[in-house]
Amino acid sequence: MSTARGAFTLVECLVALVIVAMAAAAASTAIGSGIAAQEDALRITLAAACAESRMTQALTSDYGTVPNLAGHEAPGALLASDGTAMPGLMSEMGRRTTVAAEPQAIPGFAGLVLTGWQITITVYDLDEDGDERELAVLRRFRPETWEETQGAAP
Amino acid sequence: MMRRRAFTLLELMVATITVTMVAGAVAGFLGTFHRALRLQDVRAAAIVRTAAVQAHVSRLMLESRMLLEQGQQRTLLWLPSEMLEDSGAGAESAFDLVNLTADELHWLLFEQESDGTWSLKEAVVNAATIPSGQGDRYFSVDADYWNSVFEELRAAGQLTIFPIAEGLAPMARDGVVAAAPRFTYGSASICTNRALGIEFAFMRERLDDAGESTGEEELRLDVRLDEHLPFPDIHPICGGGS
Repeated sequence: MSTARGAFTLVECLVALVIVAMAAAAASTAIGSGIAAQEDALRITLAAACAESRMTQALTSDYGTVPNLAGHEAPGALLASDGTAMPGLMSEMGRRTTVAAEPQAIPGFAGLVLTGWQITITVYDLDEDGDERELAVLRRFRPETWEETQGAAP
Repeated sequence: MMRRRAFTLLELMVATITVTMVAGAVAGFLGTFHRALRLQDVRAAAIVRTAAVQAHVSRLMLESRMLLEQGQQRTLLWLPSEMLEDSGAGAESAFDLVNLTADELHWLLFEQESDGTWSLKEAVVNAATIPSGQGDRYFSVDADYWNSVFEELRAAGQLTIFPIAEGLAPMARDGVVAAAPRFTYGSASICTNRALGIEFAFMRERLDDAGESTGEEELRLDVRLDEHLPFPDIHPICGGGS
């Protein structure tokens, strides 16, 4: 007995093509999302380096000069510690440094309060609409040492 | 019995064109897919290596007291083995000869590999290769002196050199690519310097379908890291004491 096999109909072909197209679109979206997430991770890594750069300056400068580091560096004006311009993606970031005199009580030591600088560094970039997007924030406390209290060099 | 009609020329042409278009679209999609995956790999490597360099150098700088040699492709960090309070100024201090033993020397160096890429490496003295009593070095502010120490130790096979990050390239700033990755310093004098800058890049060239380099940049990530000596100890030979 012979069985005549019918060819695919136009509708079957169209359905198959639509399914393939949907799968391809889903894969493309997934890859696109992955790349976007990686781009963010890259920027965050570099932003952390920008923040750490400033923080190490704040932690190693003469105690009395730390407040001089406070200020805002707009995107395009970010400088390395030696005054040279930051490269590539790092140059597209902005950085805010705040320094506040905030005594810190030490838990477990009643009445012990350390004077020092509370240093906060925020690094950001600008999104497509020009709005700031926070990438990294570093906060550290730099206590005033006994030598510094006495006015001697640290 | 039913007789089957053959395809007409027009049907065959339409079918051929359709199959070609579908195959082209699929090939294009797969090519894009492959490039995207490769780019993801390259970016992931750049992120991890940047973080690794920063973490490694930060740890070394935290333990270092001075940068003894300040070259563009090589710097020498002094990591004392004695406790911080045991060293410092004074004739009786550990600085006398400095007791600067071989295991206190850590070089960071950029070296170019045979494939043209650069590697950031750390070199330490393999103490087991130093004869007893010959490991101490007198302190010097002379860069040439430390350069000769490095070359002597390397030639004698007494250095252990291991990579911190591989596949690096020179950094570009304002569109100008430097000749090599490099170190920068806050001061030209080792007696006053407390800052170490590190400039490098990750760069990958686009590959063609055969896996050969096209010479075009697929990814460039320029990195500038700044590290400072949090606990510097300046040798009396510098004139100021600790």
